[in-house]
Amino acid sequence: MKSFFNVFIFMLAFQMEVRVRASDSVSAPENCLGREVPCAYKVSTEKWSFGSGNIKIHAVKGSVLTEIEKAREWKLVGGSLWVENAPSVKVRSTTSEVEGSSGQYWMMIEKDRTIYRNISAKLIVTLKDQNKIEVPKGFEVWVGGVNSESQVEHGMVEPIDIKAHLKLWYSLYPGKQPQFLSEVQDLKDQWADRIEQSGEIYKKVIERKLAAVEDEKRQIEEKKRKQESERLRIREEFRKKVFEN
Amino acid sequence: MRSSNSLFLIVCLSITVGLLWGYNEFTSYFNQGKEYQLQVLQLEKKLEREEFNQALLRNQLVDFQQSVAVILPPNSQIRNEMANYELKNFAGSLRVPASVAQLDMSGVLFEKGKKLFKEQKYEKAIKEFRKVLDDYPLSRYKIESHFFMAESYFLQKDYKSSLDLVDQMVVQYPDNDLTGFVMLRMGQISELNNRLEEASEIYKTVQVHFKSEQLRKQAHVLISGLQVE
Repeated sequence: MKSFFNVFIFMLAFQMEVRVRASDSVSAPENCLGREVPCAYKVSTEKWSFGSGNIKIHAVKGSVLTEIEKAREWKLVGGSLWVENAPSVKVRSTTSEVEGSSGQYWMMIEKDRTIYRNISAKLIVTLKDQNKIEVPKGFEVWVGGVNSESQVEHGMVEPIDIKAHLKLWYSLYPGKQPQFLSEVQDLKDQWADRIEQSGEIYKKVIERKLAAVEDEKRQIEEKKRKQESERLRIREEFRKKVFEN
Repeated sequence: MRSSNSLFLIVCLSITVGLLWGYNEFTSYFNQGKEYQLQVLQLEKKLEREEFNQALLRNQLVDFQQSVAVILPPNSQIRNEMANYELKNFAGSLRVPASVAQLDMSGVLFEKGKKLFKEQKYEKAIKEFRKVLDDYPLSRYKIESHFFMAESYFLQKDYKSSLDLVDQMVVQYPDNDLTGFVMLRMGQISELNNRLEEASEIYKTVQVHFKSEQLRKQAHVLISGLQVE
């Protein structure tokens, strides 16, 4: 009787279908997220969030990130990253890096450009050529590749198009809709004078450019003047040698 | 008695095993699609992993290229000698062309857009005006480009996009006469949506706040039109 029962169990076991579900996340090395660094990771879910102490980082689906140093340094390979709060956390791209104070900012990779959008942080972008760009609150700037003058291409600091930004922001927003709306309203109020601010920034840039052009002109004139006086001195010496001796 | 019991149990077990086997055969015969689905799923996963690896490699390569590009001397400082030929080619292939002293082509783009607007090719005109705004944020054609874009959207009956641009103009260039003209369009959109009071308010605002005689006249005509209705 017992042997028949054993045979029954044995045959039943063959009828069972065992399926092992493959892991949803893609990472290199395999399953490294939260376990080891460096760890490259692709966001496969609708949104991804990282929190550790006072650090809060979110990324949209399809973004590729590399954690270089544990909760201290990240690299954005593709997609969009929302740094909600990450004091002293460094985020890099291929041609620039940023280290924001506490406050929010965004980093997005679009084609060959990285866009930095500052919401409420003190944001300084350091380019690969060691130049620095300060992005005021409510403004954004794009950074491209190294150009033929060994400088990193970048755009003007411009006000954020809030309407276009809201959709992306809402897709990652962890709270409820009324809370989101109130935050948007707060930002709108804070950014009311951005147009005047951008005018000031453009004015400064133009003034700096004009000053650079003036300086260049002045240097050329100085050089010409020196050349002319040198030419006159040589001529005078030549005259002395030939006619006075 | 005992042997008949065990015989009964053996028969029951055999029938159960037979039924299970039959069920298994039946389901596997009719569920062959599931296996293929599983295979497709696995292949998709594999593809995703491959793409991910490629993205990482590409990024590492670009990172390295940019690190080298920034160390090399500027192209203008590499002397035109045979010895530097390779260096120049190398630098050129790693870098994007300089746009430090960019040519202002906004005038050309604007004229092109205006021509397309006159030919009623609004879609193409919008693209040209958009280029002016995106590529030349300091262009003197910026306000006019905004205006023509808002007009193009209005004439295409894309009222939402037109209103977005009107909003931008009101915020960025509140004193410009062109803002007054697009505000009249805003009023017309309100009229089309049967919001007559709102339209009237907009026309009155234009009449009060803008100094251009032409604008005031036009606003007056539109208000009179509302009152007649």
